[in-house]
Amino acid sequence: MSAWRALVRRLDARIAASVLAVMVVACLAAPLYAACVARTDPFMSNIGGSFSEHGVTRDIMQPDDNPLHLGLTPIGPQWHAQYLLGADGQGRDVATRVLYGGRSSLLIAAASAALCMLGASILGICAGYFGGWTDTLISRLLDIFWAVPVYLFAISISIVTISHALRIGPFSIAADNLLLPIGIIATVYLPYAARPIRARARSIARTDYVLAARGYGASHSRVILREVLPNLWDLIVTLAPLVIALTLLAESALSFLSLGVQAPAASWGTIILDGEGLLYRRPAIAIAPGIAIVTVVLCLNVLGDALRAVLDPKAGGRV
Amino acid sequence: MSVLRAVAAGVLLSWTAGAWAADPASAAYDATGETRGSPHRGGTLRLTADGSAGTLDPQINYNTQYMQLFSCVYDQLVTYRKARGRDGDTIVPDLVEALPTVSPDGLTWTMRLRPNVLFSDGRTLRAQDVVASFRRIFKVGSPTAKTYYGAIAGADACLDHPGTCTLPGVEGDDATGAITIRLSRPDGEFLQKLSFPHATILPADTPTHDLGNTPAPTTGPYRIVSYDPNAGMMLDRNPHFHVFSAHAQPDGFVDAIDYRFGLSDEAQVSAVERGVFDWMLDPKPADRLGELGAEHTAQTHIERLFGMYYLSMNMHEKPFTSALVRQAVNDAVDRHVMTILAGGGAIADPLCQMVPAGLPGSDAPCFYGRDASLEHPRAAWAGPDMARARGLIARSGEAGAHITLVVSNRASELNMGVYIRNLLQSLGFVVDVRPVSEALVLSYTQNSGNHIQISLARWFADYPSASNFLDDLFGCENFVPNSDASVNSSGFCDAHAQDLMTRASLEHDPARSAALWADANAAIMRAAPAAPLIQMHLVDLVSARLGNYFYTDLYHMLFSGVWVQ
Repeated sequence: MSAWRALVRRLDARIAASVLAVMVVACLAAPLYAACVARTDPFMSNIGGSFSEHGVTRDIMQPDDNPLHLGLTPIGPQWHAQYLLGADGQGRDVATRVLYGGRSSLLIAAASAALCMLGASILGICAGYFGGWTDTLISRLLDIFWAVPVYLFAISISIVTISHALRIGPFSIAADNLLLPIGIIATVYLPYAARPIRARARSIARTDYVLAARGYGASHSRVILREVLPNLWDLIVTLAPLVIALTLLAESALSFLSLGVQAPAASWGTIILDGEGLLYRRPAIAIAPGIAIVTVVLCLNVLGDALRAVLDPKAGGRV
Repeated sequence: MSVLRAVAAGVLLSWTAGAWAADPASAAYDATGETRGSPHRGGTLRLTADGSAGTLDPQINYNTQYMQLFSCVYDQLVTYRKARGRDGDTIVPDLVEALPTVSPDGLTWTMRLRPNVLFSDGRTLRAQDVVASFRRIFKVGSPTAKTYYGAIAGADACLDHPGTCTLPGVEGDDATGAITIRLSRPDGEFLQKLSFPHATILPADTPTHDLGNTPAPTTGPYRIVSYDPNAGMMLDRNPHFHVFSAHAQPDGFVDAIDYRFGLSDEAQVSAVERGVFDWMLDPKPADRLGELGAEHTAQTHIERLFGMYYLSMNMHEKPFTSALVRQAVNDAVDRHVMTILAGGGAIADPLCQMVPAGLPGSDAPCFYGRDASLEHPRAAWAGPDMARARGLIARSGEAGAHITLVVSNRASELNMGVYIRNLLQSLGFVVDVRPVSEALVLSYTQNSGNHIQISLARWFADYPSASNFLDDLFGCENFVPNSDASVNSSGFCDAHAQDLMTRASLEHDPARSAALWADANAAIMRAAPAAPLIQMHLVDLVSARLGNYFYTDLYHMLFSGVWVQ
């Protein structure tokens, strides 16, 4: 509880947590925003559509004003309920899509980080606690993973799984299932989280209280659960926000490359991709999800550093 | 049709020869097609493209990018006139003195080579070069060997055994320059096929394999001096070129052409705007169109194009085995939206039948959309009819079927794919979009073994005829199961439509031929193996220094016709 109170007392942590909470709630409320405020379906094309503003009906795709009548551009930010941030190339409300995209991005980032931390904890504790061949095997495996550039690794797995879906025996995961990017991203960041956990577990395994517990005849599982894990908890909690930030960036990158979230679903990465072709005329389409990503990652990093400062007194001055 | 038109063109050619200088369609050349003495002669034309287009072999390459370039490099026996507007749709003699004389049965074509035409290596063009070039079409496995030149006597044996091809149907006499081509069956469009780049005349000793990156000697005003598919290509003047036909192959203004590869479409636009390059190949990105129209109006040209986008529906794959489903897609698709996605009304027009406007046979009625039906068609498309489309889907019993839509991974086509996916979803289907690499999408969607249900496709004319769209895309002989070269990707084969197309292609009277093509067009659209979407226009961007912009329907911007100083 003292750590929690110390965290709450920190201004940077309070600001980061508040901004993060607002963004999560806004994204969760996306269906409500779409139905009651924007009154639009963010997944359906509306290219030939129009909308009313102060009693005046305007086409969503506006002809460019030039002598050759070349090109059409979706409407820009309107700064009111409908088309707050304008429309994308399909005539869809960008603000609504950013909120829906946030649901996918945050869900994938959080779920893949949780999966990654779970796997990393199991592998790290096994390697650090048991040592010997177990440690060698797991550590070399993680070294191999570590040696491959993380995005290259993620892209390679994504191309195979997204192109042909994933079939393992009788089980099949469709290409558009969010479990695929969750699994891929969790896998590629496994060594990044497992290594520090393994190092801490290894030092804990050599402490007097662990040796004493073993000397009293406690089983390995009991020692791990009662002695090792509680002493690893601060490290896992400190790592978690940083891993979420990394997985969010990875999700956005993969989706931007059409290798993450698959249409008709949207994520912040796919919305940036949608805006790429309109970067000159309607930069808001790409910038809005970009700002969302930067904000969330910044908040998570600040929160992670604050947690580390609170839980690890030696690192108090590193923020 | 073709022979009469060709004879008429020949008469027109001789009649207009004296008026060449005053001909606005070919302004800037003098009466002889020469550029010597012009103050605009000289300089280097700098071209840019995203990538190269493969082999330099003019009898193999089937890519618009190099066919445009080859038009001022190589020659055929006859060719389309290098003139602006409709004049450019007329066939004129190229390496021969006059258009071929055709026997009454349409089977024997005779012509005479022009004397003193030289290849760029200094050798004189002989009749044996013509004979060898036609044999070579089969020996190198030209992609149009069967479809365009399969009517030549002996072609069947050459197709079966290319290595020993003798092609007795083509004979030449070096002494007189006489060329005789005998056909095994009449072909009403053989003249157009003779003008196609795959019928380029090369020296008789040209290797009978794909030339790859090695250029062949040329007869046009330019020759290729270096080629690296990953970097670029350089052309300079053919030192042995002289103007032998002002209409077929006029001289070039620029001294050299420097063609560079590797820039993205966005970078190409910026480079041409800054004057780093004089012309760019690739489609202009949608987000730059407004800028081009507003700030580079004089440098931007919108030109006619015999090309279209359409949805090909595989009649052998559910749910498109049902005519009701195919007709529903035709009713539902909003062609106005497709024009918006293509860049607006200045770039694309809605299309409701399978022949682009401006070609014979394009005046078929529209059976689909608002206020139109199979019984009471309209002259033009009036808007989508979603209610009727949903009714047709309900009657078909196919609602809820899973559909995979295949599109090219180009940004503009991905956008179109997203719209079509939404459209099919709103008709009650479960739809995935599968983007496929631009380089592979054509062969991938053509192979029936891939079980493609529906694909977004685009198609351009090799020469201005309805057959390029109807016979190519829906002819029974063009559906080849499990082949990457099965142009008829919808697998349509209808005896009545095929009969109309065969009669149209053999008909010599232009009016009757156009009527037959229109009937064939209507017969195909009733069965709806495809949903025509839009007819495209070409947007060309050139540098501020480029003068005398010269566009022809077939060859697009003519590199020999523009100047840079």
